[in-house]
Amino acid sequence: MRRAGAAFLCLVAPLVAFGQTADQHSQPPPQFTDYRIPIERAAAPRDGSFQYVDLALLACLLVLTAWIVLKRRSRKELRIVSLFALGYFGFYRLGCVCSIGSIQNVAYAIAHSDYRLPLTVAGFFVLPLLAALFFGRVFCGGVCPMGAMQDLLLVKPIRIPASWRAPLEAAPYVYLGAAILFASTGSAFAICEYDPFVGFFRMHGHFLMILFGSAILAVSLFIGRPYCRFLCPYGVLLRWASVFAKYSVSVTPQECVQCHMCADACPFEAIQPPAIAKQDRTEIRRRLTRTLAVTPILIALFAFAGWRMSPMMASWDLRVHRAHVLRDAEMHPPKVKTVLADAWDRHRKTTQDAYVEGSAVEHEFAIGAPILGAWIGLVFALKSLSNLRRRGSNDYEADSSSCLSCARCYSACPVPHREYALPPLPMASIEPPEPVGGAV
Amino acid sequence: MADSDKPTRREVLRDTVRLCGLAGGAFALGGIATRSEAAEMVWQIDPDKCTECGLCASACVLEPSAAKCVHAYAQCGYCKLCFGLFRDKRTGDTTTAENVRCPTDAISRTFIEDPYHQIAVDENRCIGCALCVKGCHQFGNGSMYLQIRHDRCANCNQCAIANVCPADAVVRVPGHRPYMLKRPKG
Ligand code: SF4
Ligand code: SF4
Ligand code: SF4
Repeated sequence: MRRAGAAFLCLVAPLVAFGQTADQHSQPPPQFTDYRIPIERAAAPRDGSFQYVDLALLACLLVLTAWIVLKRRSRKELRIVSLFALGYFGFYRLGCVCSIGSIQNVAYAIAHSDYRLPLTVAGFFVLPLLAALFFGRVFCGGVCPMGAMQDLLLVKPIRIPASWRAPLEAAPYVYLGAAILFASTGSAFAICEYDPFVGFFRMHGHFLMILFGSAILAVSLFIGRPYCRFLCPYGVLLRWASVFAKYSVSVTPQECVQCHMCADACPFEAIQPPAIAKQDRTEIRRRLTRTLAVTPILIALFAFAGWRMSPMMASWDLRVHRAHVLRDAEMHPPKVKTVLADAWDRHRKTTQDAYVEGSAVEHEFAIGAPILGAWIGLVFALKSLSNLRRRGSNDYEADSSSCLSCARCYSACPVPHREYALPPLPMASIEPPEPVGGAV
Repeated sequence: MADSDKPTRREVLRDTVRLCGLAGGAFALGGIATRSEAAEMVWQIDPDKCTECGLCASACVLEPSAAKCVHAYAQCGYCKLCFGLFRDKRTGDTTTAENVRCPTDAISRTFIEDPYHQIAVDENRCIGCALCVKGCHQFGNGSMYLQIRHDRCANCNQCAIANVCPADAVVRVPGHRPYMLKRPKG
């Protein structure tokens, strides 16, 4: 009423003197001789302008990172930007909303037409992907606070054997699929619930999640960005987008002298060695046909597993859980009513209502879980082909889909970088780039 | 990659995909812009649904919780033996300090005129445990209730309280109408 939303409880006394109150046990407010019922102080609403600051900063930082990584080629400057992003998006804004989590809002919005996707969330989802279409994964390099946290801790990178990497790299795809399933059914925002770092930003969190986060941070002392590479579901989308990147990290300015130094410097194993002798064509074809034959079987197998597991997955949903609790309570009435049952009763809803609600969710999972299973099967099948991927180049080259734009390789390359410029932009001529500031 | 000016097949393909991505992104953003309120969504407790289970105090990612007790003066009965402030008198005691519900002693009362007392909630002490809310709801006028305070709330993408609330009481509301205030009906 009075300045709707701003004032907390501006109830006007005269209204109340006659009007009956909402609650059932109402005793009318007394008639005081000499006392006026106070009006509540206003509690601040959330400062809405921050969302525009967030969006603008996100866009600026993406462009700035692209400029630093691709044109200034400076790790030192990039570190400053990512420290700022860590401070602002992480510790100051407490980590919400982030691009990784926004996947779920998008999935939820697609499945629930009554949910209106806030503009900020949409921006956080779309902008880094658009940036990746042009500049590669600059979001990972300089803007993502979770990436920054791990990257700044990396002291002594060790190499992961290639045979371990393929299965580890499949995990984000699985996580992405699961997160979309749980978000679109409205069951949980798993990415947020199991976010290992947000507890640090807020200096408070569930004990197990803090433990998980600490473990990841400990690992990231030696393995470059474990979360980004082996868990982050948004990384999957960025990976796809950056395959088509127009300008992405390219190590050597002039001629690659095939020294392998850049590949050693990359802690994420993103630099592909030159295509050695052409792989045997018949060998390739054999593996391809084998995979093609196996793929449908894998998909069917996992889809079946998903279908079998769908009741279990659904039971993690509160609505399904409630239906189960109420059914159990009907069969064996407990001494003390559970809070769930109590709340349900107080909302004057029947056990039947709970069944209807719960079985609707179970139905959604019965469709979604096999799809998730099929997706996982497909990922596993295609991952087995990953070492077949051949690059056309004869030089060491950063693979734009797995390069995290950290700018470490530049200073490792022994070829002088001074005269290096980007491929000419379609606009006017570009000024020669500043000399690169030494080794970092 | 290509030495000549003529783009390679791969480059043309990339350009096409990039253009499609750009168009798709613009299309999606446009669609969202027309459908969204442009306002951010925030979390709030629907006081009519809340069943005072007490999980608000522990589930919130903040310590202390962003949920705090609000007192609607205009709905208050100004009871001498405030049910929000004191435990059920069937336990024996009445208006003694030992009988106070609030674990943090956030509720104070001042005498107005016999037999009326005005109570006040100290928001800096309140931890959102809902004990007073329960008392006031069960035996009193229900003038005490919980609200998520947006000067504290981190606006988590997924509210941790909403995850566990047995009453589905924590809902998304538009940021420009961030509170669900108890108002007298009629
Ligand atoms: S968790 Fe839900 S029911 Fe429990 S006190 Fe909080 S809002 Fe009320
Ligand atoms: S949105 Fe986060 S900070 Fe706000 S009440 Fe919920 S859990 Fe607490
Ligand atoms: S009893 Fe709990 S909810 Fe009520 S004022 Fe005290 S701390 Fe806050």
